[in-house]
Amino acid sequence: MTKSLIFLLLLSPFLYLLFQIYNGDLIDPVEEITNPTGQWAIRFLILAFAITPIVRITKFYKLIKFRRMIGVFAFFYMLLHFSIWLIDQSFDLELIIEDIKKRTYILVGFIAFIASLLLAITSTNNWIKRLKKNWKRLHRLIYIIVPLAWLHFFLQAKSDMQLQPHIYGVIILIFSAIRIYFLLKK
Amino acid sequence: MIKNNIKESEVTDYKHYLNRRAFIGGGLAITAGVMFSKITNATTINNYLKNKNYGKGLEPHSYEEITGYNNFYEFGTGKRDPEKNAKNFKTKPWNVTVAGECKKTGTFLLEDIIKNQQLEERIYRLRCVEAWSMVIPWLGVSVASVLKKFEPNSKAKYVKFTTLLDKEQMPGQKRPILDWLYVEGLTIKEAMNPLSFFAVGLYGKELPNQNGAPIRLVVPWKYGFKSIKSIVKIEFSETRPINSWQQQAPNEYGFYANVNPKVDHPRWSQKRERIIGRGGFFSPEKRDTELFNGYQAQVAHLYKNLDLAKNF
Repeated sequence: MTKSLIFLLLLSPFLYLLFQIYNGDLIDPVEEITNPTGQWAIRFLILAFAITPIVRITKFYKLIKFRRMIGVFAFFYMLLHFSIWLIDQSFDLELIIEDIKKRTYILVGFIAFIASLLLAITSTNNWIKRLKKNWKRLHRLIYIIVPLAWLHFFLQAKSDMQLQPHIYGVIILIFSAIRIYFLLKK
Repeated sequence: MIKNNIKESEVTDYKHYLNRRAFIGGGLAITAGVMFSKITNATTINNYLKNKNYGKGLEPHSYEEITGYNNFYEFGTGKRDPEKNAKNFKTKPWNVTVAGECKKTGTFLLEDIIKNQQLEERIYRLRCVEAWSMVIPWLGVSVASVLKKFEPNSKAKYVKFTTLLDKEQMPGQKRPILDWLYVEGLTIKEAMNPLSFFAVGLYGKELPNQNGAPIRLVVPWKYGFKSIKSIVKIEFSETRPINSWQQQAPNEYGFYANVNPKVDHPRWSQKRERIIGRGGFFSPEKRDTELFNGYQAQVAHLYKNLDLAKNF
């Protein structure tokens, strides 16, 4: 029950987008899908990253159950975000490569996406069993993905819209500090 | 002549006007019905000329697209915000202060500034610095015809324009996104170029608030942010004004801001532009961006000895 509710919550930004598309509300779909999907991707990514430290502090172990779902949803929104970028480049490989080469934030976002793709693929029970200890090692990629995703967000933000990236940065730092604290304590 | 009350007959006129457009451009007829319901409270402008020298081969975007998708940070940073937040913006009466290096300084009613001038319709392409474009049938007067009335003197090398500062009416100004007042500037030669236009309407109607009512600049060979909206002050000066976006991010936005596919924005390419609302969902239509947005013939001579990459 709780799980389906959270599933719906995580899905709701996507449902809202579908509603807007169906309604013909989007005048410039490229911009109007790129921005919200990017925003939700980083929000859910930070949320997934925060679950472990939150559980450690609150001892509310039930939360762990939702970590994977949140993480996969973060990837889902990343995938949408990434796809719109491909559409905006008209799927033209030359333009795609040029964009990656020329612009740091694109390169950074691209790396974060590829790393997340690995995590999303190996998020199934099957892969967890198959990779055994290496699964945990592989999924430490989150320590690279989160800062890269943040850097991508920070670098592309308009010079006049820096508040959100800064807030997200502080949140990431706080949860990273908690994670490091518990790592050292072990 | 601007009429304040709207009659049934005028609405019908507008419909015919749209039908004509649809006949010329094709494709607009389908949306006319939708637009019709949305614009009935906008005031019709009569007696204007269609200036056929501008807009050859350009197919105007719909009224909904032009009035529903705006960058006007005074009313919020989202493209949909201005339409919502500018609804109750008061534009009557509207005063414009003229100052600086000219003979006739003072504060004038907008009606007095544009009276005795022939209103004309010009269809221009607007290229936003964010790499999208729209085609808009503006209604207004040439900037030169207005500025000459104030008799600028030989020291008038630049013209500085200022947007209204009113935090109550313009809620976007409550957030420190830009260093409000919004300021823009042109060289006197740019301002006097026949292309430079003051718009007071579009699609045969008074300018909707979200599009910069009651008077805005339209300089189609420059990125959209140069076309300053809701102007309250015009100042002739000897020194070059610092425009708001240049002040905010000098590495990203310059004084000239001429449309140029060869000079990329640091965060994106300017080679191509999305044509708003055109093409399919998975294949948004793009066009190659042209130098000076395709207005080379009219303005290229202004920049003969200028390094456009440095003076972006």
